[in-house]
Amino acid sequence: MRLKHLYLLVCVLLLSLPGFSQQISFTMEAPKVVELGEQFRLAFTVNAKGQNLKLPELSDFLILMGPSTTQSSSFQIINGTSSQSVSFSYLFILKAKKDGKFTINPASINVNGTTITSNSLTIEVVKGSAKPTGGGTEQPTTTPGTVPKSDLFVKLVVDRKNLYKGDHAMATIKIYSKVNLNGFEDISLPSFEGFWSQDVALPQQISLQRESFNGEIYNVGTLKKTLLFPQQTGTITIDKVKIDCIVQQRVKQAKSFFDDFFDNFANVKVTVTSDPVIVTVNPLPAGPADFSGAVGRFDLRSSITSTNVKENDAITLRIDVSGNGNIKLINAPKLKLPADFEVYDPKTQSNYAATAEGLNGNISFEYLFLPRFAGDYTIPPVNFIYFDPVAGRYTTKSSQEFKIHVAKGDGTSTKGIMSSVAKEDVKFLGKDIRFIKQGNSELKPKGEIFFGSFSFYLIYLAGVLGLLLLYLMYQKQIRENANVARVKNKKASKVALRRLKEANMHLKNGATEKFYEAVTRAFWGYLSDKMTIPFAELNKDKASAELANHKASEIVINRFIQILDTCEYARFAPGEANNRMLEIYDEACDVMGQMDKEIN
Amino acid sequence: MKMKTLIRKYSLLLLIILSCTISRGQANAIVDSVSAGNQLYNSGKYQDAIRKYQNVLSQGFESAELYFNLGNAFYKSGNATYAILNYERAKKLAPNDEDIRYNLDLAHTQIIDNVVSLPEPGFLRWWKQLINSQSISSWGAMSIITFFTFLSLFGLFLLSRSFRVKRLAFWVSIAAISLSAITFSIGSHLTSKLINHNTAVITDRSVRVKSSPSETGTELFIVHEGVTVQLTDKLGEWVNVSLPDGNKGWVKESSMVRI
Repeated sequence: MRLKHLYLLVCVLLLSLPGFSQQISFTMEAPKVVELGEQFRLAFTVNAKGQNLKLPELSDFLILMGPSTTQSSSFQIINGTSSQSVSFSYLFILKAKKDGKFTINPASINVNGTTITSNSLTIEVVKGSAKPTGGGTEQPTTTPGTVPKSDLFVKLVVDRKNLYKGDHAMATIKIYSKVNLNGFEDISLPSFEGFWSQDVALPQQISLQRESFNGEIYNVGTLKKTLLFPQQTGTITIDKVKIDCIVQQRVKQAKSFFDDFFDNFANVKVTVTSDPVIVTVNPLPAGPADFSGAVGRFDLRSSITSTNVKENDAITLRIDVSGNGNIKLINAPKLKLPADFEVYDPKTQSNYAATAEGLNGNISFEYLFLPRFAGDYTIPPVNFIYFDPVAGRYTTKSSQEFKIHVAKGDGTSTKGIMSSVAKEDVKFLGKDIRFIKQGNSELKPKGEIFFGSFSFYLIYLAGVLGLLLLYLMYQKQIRENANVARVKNKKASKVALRRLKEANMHLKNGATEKFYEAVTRAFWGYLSDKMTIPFAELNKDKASAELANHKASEIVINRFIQILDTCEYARFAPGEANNRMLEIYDEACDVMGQMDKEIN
Repeated sequence: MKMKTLIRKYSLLLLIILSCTISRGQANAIVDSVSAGNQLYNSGKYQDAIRKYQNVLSQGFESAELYFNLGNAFYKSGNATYAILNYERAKKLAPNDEDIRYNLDLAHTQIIDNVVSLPEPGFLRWWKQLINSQSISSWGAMSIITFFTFLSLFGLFLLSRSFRVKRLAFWVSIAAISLSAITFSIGSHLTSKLINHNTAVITDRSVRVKSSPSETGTELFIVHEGVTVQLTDKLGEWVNVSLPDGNKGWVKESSMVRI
């Protein structure tokens, strides 16, 4: 345990060793303002042992005394760390020969073989007032309890009285004193209405420094330094400063014995006020729409935490604006994100310090967003527009473009969000899809639909063709039937004539029976063929009716029937009509000819 | 009712005649593959079941039941988008199947967008119901049967000698040919719907719908995966989509799968 502590101590000591070899500084100090003929100190301080101090040219001053050397060293341990410092100082007493501003060039000194140079100084030598300042030689004032205005006053100085809105000016409150200032009782500072103000850090203790003003030397204390950013345009009046000072005054009393040994002093309260200051604020020229409100000079940097994420993973885009200007008053630049990103309000963080040059620092904007769905997205550059008061115009700085690849999430987080975002009215907790169909499904080739296919139309076609065929067959049958009738009709007279010829042959042979039979057959056959009436259905009544239908004349029909009657009679009563055979034959031929003419 | 079963039987007969072209062995292997997929589904191995079913589809065979089972497997494995796609495909083949419609409705509740369909006029709804009450094959068979009825009646009209029979046959044949034409047009309408794949399901997680077919077009609205859209126009890789709620815009075709 102890050993461990020892090690730790050694380590700390070793680490702190470089602290000893600190930077060697060599400085020169002197009051800023001196009166002509006044003695003053010029001191050189070096924090190491040096040799061979070389003074700069001091022809404008008289060296009354010096150098007197002093040495001091200190060693301290704070919280276990030790530090050591030594300082050597060389002191000269000088006196100015004439008035004016003089620059003392750097001095040099040799420390451990290296030559180090000091800073240079400027000393203002003023003629000086009639009465000497400070010290025991001070004369009591003519009227006790009052201090003349020229001996104690306060000034409010604004370095720029004509500026743009948003630009900055420095207001300095200084107290000038020639009297023995003991302290301040009440300081009422202006409220700086119309400005956004930021105090510059000053040392806690107000230290008075010699400064010349109107050719006289004053002890000057800076009470306050404030950066002012005008927030409105036009002329703004800054209120006056009012300070109650406590001044120590020597009180002149009636001569007494102790007068020369003890001075009587009294604290006198003196109120001083400054003059009000008028500042003119110019409006900014008409600017672009997305002007950020920044006035000054800025730089822009952007960074992103990740460009390759999963759904619903958070991404932070950070935009850093750094520079000099009204940093505190910058609005967050607009970020154009893809439409279905979930975006949170940007987090703003600023860090700045008020200095004599203005407000320096940076402000950062952090945009947190969640890509909801997988895909490739582009975040376009962010435009930051500020007004440059020196150049008097608007300047745009752009951040870089980011490409984001969003991978599909594992689904666990998505589900939860989905149910909250999408539909709350769906309550299908106890429901499930219908089960799969188990039966042997009728698989068929893809895209093969019977409807509209070739075979589908083939069925229609087959139907039409079938009907057409049927109809054609029917038609043909009708035609054929008609043909038979016509042939028969055409042949009718020929057949009849042939039969009559046969009858003629029987006539010559004297075969009476056969003759009449042939004539009857010729007649009936003719009728059957001509009228397309089956042979068996023929009788005399039907024959006369059909003949009448066929527009045969009455006479021909009567003759036709008569011949048939005669033939029938002769066949069944032979002998008697034998000699009339020739007559009947001629008659039959005549009727046949007549009938053929009339019917057709 | 009797008519319906008759038609179904008839279409079945036609299908059997058609499927005679598939060799028996191959058909058996595919049927085995489907039942193997069903068994995997039963035992909860949905991913493997999906693979089995897709294998059958890749061999060029399909059926409403197969798409339905594949949709179920996708649904069970948490992919509502592809479940919707396959239910829609099944619905195309079997428009009147109540199970498919039920599961499709359920899958629609799982997607992000709640697209409310525009209300349809009553007669249109009735007409769609009528059209979807029979499969395409049934409509086709009906058309053929009525056509043959027409043919025989027309034949009777041509051949009959009786005037009264002729007149009756003529008017009834006119009615039959009209019926045949109507059923045929319904069938061809359904077929064109089946052949022209002009409906699609959005498969990209989130799609910005543009006002014009280019990247620079104004973004009109966003749709998420699972939404069924109607394709009305096409220009290069862009298609004009119309949502069930009436919204229209241009989307890249790569962000969707046609049904």
